[in-house]
Amino acid sequence: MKMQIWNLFRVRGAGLLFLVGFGALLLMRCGSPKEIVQPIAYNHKVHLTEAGLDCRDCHKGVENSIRATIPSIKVCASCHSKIKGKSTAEAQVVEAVKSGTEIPWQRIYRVPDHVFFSHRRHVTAGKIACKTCHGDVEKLTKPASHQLVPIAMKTCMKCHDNKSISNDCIHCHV
Amino acid sequence: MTKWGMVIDLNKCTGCGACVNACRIENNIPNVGPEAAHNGRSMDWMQIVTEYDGEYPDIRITHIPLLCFQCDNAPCTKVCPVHATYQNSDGLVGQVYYRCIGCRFCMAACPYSAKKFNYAEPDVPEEYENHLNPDVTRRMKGVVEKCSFCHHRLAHAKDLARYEDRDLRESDFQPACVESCPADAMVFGDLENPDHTVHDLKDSSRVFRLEEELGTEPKVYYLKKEDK
Repeated sequence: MKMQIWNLFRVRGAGLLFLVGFGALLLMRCGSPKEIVQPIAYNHKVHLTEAGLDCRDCHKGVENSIRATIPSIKVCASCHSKIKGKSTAEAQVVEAVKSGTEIPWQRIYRVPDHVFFSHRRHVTAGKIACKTCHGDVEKLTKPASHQLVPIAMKTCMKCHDNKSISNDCIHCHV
Repeated sequence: MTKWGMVIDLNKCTGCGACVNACRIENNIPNVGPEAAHNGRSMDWMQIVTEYDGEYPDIRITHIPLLCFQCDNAPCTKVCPVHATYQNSDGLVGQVYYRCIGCRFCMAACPYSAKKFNYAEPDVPEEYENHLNPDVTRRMKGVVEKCSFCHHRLAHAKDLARYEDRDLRESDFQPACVESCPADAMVFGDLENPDHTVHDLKDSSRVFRLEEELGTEPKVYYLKKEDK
C-alpha cells in the first residue's frame, strides 16, 4: 500500500510542478503593471472629438513608416502658439512651445527587441484601425497609465490566423 | 515561390574580410576577445577559409567565404527538438532564439559548422550600445545562432514593396556581406527568378557546392577558381 502511494506521488510530480508554475504565472499576470505617468495631462478626447483631429494628424509616421512616432513640440506648435482654453495642461504645452523644449512623453506600447513590427504594414497595407491594438483612445480624458489593450504574441497570431497572414516565426522575430 | 540563394565567385574573392566585418556590424555579433576566439568560441557568422595549393613559390591561394548555406534539405532543422530552427516558405532556415533551449543538436548535425553557441552573455562595451543594429535581436547566453541571410532586411524590403504597391526587386533585398563586397564576388537573389543574376550564374560550368554528396542541397553556390 505504501508503495502505491509513493507511485501516485511520482506520477503527480509532474502535475504538481505544472500547477506551481501556472500559479506563479498567474501571480505575475495579476501583479499591477507599472503605472506610466505623462509629464502633461494630455486629453485625447478633446483633440479627437472636439477639435476634430485624427490620430495620424499628430502620429505622423503611422501610415508611411515603421514607427508611428510620438509628436514633437513642432506638431503641438502648429495649433498651440497661444492659450485658447482654461486648462493647466494647455498652459504647460504653450509654455513648452514658446521655449521650444521637447515634452518628455512616455511610451506606453513598446515592441520587444526581438520583434519586427511595422505600422506601415499594418495600417496602410492591412487596413487595421488604430483602436484594434490601442483601444478606445478617443474616450480618454486623461493620459492612459497602461496599455488599454494588452498585446501578447497570441493576440498577434490570432489576428494573423483570422486574416490568413503568415504566422512564420521569422516573419516577425528577427 | 521564392528561393533566396547566393553565388560566390572564388576567382573574384580576395579574402579581404569586408563581408565578415559587415556581417558583424549588421548582426550585432559580439567580440569575444582573442582568448575565447583561440578556444574556438568566436561568434562570427561568416568566416573565410584560405586554401593553399602547391609549394612556395608556386602557391595557388583560394579564399572561400563560409556562411550558413540555408540548405534546402537542412539537417539542423530535422534534429531540433523544439522547432527553434526550421525552414520557412522562402527557403530560409530560421533560428528562433527565444525558443532555442541550447541543446546544440543542430550544431552537431550541421556539416558546415555554420552554427555558433553563445557561451556567455554578449559583452558589448557601453560606448557601443547606441551603435547596435536595432533590427537584430541580441542573442543571450545559452542559445545557438547563425547567419540568417539578413532576413530582417527582407522584412523591411517586403514592407516597403507592399507600401509602394510593387513586386520585390532584386536590389531591394541584399544581405550585408553581399552589399559590402568590394570585388563583387558575391551575388544574391532569387534562384528561381529568371530576372535575377543568380538564376543564370548557378548554372555556370564552374559551379560547385560544398559537401554536395551529403544531399543537403545548400543554396550557396561557388564558382570554381580558374587559372587565368
